[in-house]
Amino acid sequence: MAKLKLDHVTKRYDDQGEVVTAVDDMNLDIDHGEFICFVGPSGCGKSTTMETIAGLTIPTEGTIHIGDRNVTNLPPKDRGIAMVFQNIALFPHMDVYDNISFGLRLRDYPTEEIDRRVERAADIVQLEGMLGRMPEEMSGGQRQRVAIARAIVREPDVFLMDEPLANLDAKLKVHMRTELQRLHKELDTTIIYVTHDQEEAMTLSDRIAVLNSGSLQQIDPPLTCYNEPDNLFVAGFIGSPSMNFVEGTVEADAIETKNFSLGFDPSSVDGLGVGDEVTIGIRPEDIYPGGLRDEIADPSALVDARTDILEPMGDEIFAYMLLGDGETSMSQEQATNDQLLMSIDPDSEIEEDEDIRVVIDRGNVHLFDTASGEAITHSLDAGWSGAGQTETEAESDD
Amino acid sequence: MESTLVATVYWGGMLVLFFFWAYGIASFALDMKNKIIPGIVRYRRGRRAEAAEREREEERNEREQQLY
Repeated sequence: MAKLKLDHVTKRYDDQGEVVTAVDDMNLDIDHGEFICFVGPSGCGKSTTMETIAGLTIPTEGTIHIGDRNVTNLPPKDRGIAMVFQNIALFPHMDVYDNISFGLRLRDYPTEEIDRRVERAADIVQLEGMLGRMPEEMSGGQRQRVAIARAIVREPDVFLMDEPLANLDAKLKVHMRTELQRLHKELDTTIIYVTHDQEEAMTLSDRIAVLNSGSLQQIDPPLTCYNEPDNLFVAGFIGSPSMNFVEGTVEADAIETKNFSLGFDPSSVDGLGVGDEVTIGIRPEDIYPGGLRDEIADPSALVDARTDILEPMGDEIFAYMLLGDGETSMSQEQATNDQLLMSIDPDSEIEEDEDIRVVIDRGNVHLFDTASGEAITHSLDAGWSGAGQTETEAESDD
Repeated sequence: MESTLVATVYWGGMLVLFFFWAYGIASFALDMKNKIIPGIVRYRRGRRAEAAEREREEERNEREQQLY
């Protein structure tokens, strides 16, 4: 049973006299058999973290344990790790059998054992009958499967995968995703997977580690990251399209924003008081056309908006809406407060430049501290009886 | 009159020749300082950096192959 533990791992680089912290005080406990995805924007430190685990980079501070062994300063070959790289990195002059068995031959395994493992790995990744082919005769997906088979034959304690699907086309990517899930189920081993594609992370992993600027923001199961993000960064990064953010101020019985107010009892949340600056987070699917107000358990007051751009996606329509004085062309800052993105049914009758009224599902509204970005609550319905409805809400109820 | 002209031409010619001779030496010295020596330094530094980069790359490849 190989657990993986990163204890206060920090990696600093000297970049022309300037110290750059690529990984900052990372603490991780990964259980045997877990599928963990490191996800984050470019330059967030996910690949560097993986490289410290692999032994390609030695951390400046901190320790790495695999099982009971401290592997911090061990070379990659002694760590019990196999890695699949983004660029696949097959030897072009070797056939599939030789590519898959490369690591075993390097370690002087007996021929019978090599044959047995190669055949088993080829069977797992469905490459039977292709062992004599050269890499140039194979498709991108097949080559990637050879790289995965090369990692499987090593029978490692931990698999590392550094954006292995990044170079594949969209259809093949989806196919390989299911292959990887099947592989994980079959091998029952620890897999650490680096990707910047949050959809990949959501579908593949048992837990997602969200990184930003070298720091771990949150590590939780995908749906927890989606439904209960720890901070503004995670809320904005997880989910496609992104969460809507609107800045506001806490009042006695509501949160007032520039264009609308949401009924809320601040005393229901510890440490929150009148006058506090907060950021409201609303997922596009938690905004509904006003006509559906009665179907929502805890609807907000009706909010006046004007549709700007409609993006039909087939199974849903993304409607970009302008609030108040919102203009078609606006800065990012304006867009935060004057624009809402709503996801609606594809058969909804909605036009561009149409005045509409929408409601927000208060039960799924997230609240963040504007200054620190930390999450305050993930639902506004706690403790709210509606007794202190704002004037706008009272009007709309009529 | 004639001797004055000869002397003027002589000294004028000498002045022109000496000017370009001195100009050549000064120009060469400045070129050495500003172009040739920095160029050599850059070339050698580049070769050293290339060698170090190559070595790093080989080391990295070797480490990566340990993970195959």
